[in-house]
Amino acid sequence: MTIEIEEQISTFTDQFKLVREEIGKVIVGAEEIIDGVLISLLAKGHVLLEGIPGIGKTKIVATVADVLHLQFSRIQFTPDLMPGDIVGSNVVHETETGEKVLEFQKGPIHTNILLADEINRATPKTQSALLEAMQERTVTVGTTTHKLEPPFFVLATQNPLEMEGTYPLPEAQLDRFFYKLRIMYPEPKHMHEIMDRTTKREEPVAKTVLGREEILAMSDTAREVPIARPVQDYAIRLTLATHPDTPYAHPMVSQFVRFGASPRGTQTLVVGGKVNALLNGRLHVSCEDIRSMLLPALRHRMMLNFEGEAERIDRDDILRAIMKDTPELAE
Amino acid sequence: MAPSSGSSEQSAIRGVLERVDRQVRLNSILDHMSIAVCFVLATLVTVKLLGILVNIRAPSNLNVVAISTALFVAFLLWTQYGARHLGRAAVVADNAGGLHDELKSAYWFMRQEHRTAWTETQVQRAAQTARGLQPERLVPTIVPQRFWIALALGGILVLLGFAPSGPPLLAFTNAPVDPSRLTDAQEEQFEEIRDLVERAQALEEAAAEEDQLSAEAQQRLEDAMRALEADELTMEELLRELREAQNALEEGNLEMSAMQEALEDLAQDLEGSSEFADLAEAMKNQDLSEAAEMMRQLAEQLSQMDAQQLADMAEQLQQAAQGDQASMEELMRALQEAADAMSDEQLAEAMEAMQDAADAMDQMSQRMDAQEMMNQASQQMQAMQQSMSQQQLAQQMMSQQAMASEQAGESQEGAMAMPSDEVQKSAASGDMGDPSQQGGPAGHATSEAIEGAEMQLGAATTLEVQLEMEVVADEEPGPEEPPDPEDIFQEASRQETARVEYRNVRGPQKYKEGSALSVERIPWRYRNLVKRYFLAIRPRENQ
Repeated sequence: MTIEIEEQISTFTDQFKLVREEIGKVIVGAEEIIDGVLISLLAKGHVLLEGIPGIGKTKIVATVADVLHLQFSRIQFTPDLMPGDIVGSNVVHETETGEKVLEFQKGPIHTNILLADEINRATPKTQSALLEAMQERTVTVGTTTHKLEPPFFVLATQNPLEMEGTYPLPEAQLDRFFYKLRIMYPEPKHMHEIMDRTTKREEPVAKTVLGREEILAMSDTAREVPIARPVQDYAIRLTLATHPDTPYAHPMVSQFVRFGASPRGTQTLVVGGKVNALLNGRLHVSCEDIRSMLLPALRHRMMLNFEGEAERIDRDDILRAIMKDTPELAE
Repeated sequence: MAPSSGSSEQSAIRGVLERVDRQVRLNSILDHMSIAVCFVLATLVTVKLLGILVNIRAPSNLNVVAISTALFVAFLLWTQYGARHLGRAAVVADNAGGLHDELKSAYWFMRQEHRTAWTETQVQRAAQTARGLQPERLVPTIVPQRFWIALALGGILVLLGFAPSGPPLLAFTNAPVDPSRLTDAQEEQFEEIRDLVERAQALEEAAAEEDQLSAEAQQRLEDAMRALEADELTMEELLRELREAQNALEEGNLEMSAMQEALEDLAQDLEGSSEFADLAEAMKNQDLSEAAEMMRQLAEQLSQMDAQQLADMAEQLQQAAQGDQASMEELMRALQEAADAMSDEQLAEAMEAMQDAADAMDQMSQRMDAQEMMNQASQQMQAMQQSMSQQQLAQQMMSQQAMASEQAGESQEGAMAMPSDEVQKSAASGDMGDPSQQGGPAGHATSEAIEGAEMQLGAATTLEVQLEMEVVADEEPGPEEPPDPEDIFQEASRQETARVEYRNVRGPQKYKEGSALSVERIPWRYRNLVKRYFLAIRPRENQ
């Protein structure tokens, strides 16, 4: 049994590295983003990518879909996009016998990897059409509930600059994203590499290296990783430290935060930590794994108060302060 | 079925964690010890420095060390006693070895009843890692840097030990002095008194004296010193105790005088006989031990004497023993018995009676020596009382001087303030202040007394001063008794020749002003403000 587990870990690590390397052939200088996306995929979560236009958000998602042998759909969110355009609708269909029947026409959400591009441009009504699918992994049209094929992975992007005519995602929907990843502008050396790769006649193409079954197996393996209670306690204390009205609240939180992260945030820390532990060849989750998950997992789950907004406090700064001041062992 | 991690894996992990825990505890103890040692040494150095700089009552080094050690041991027992903290040791080992919580997780999984294949595998991995660890290298014994500070402090303390003892370097004349504090000279004097009284007591015990005067004085002295150390006794009470102890010591002087007179009478009675001539001479010289020795020699020579000599001696002794000397009752009885035995020519009984007489003389000699010592102790007490009275007097004068300066400073008109040199002069001549509140009499507070407060106070120089001080001390007015301003005025007026200008004499009106100021509810820092306010609103001269 021990050997089997060791083999599982070895396979997991190898396959992950394989995917990462293959994506790396196309995407330059975004290793953390690629890791974040893959961890979210293996943890059965969804990712919200935030970054200025033109830095490869859509390219990353498309490459991930290419590398993984999964169905891929893309929805460009616009203000006139309707929920039915996403989930599908019942249409009247005439059979060969001339009989007219209602038939469900699947929307683009019925896929494995869904790219929700510029999600904040759609109306809240349309955005909320994603809620059920993201959490329950089902879609209900009329009185019929349609189950989505696993794995179901939503990669949403949003542009933080152009806020006019946009609809910021409500907290309930933000909470459903496993990670919120910030894509930064590439460094000069990475820019050179991007230029070299993309301005020639042939652009690099990623091969498909992993199928659906392997991904599902990797997800199951990640969930098997045990976590000791002291480490789990650390994750809980970190989450509670984001709540301004608990005894664990950090002073910065008390001053600038209105609401803290939900228990879903703690789940994210733990599950993400498990995947990270496996990636590092460990059979247990460490506090370091939890810490490495803290920023992407909780930054979108905290709501600043008026003072925080007025002072333009960066949520990452608050989380870094929490990380620094929260001891690994409870007092 | 999950494979069970063997006990060898668990014991390997536990063994390493226990060793790490030992190292952690050792480092913790060393750390706490360095803090404690630094703290104690810093305290001792501070106390020593304060003792050199200012006049304070400091606890002994031994007491400080003993109390600190007891507190530290209690602290260590509180913090280190109890079950091993293997969880904490696992955290330390993980952090020191960069193990990413491997041992911490394994230790927690080991203690769970429900285990999975994954947890068992993790424990096996952790055991493998633990076997490769060297706890002593992972968590090395760290001698805290504070020990260097402690070493430096220890050196300073040793150097301070060589500092010459003497009066404090800083004399805060305006600072309140602890009235119950004895100076070093006074403490030495007290020790000498105690020694003398103890020796007198030993002699009294040897003389089998029933009414031991020295024991009573000794008891009084011990009680007074104990009360003084416990801050239950003021200087005035100590002075009273010393006087009573002195009285007890001097009680025996009357009896001693009677004894000396009786000895002279006895010597006169005996000097008529050639056999007793030397004995009488020794008695005249008050040398009773020599007299006792001669009496024993005579007793041994009785057998060689003829009947005539015996008869003469019997007659002399008979005559001497007829005196009514209550202070030498035992000696007289022995002499009477010797005379009777010689008359009856019973030499053995006569010799025995003369031996008894010699023993009685020895006892009397010891009593006289004891009284001599008690008299010496009494003289020392007298000197000590004078010294303490002068110290009190100087303190009171300094406090009055300080009060006068303060009042002068508060006054806006400088002309109204008494010049400091005049204050000193008037204080030195005793014209200032209330005599009833002083330890000594008005008019005898000499300038030496003021100087003595800054240096070492010596004994009073004249008998007149001593007697007057005793009179004042016996009166002992209550500290709360308000001085009568009229008395102050009268006292100042009684001076035959005015040595102080009349405006510098504290008149009743001025004293009342001072009294009013002393009960002023306005905080001192606002007084100037209030004064300026009233000055501002006062009517102008042209209004």
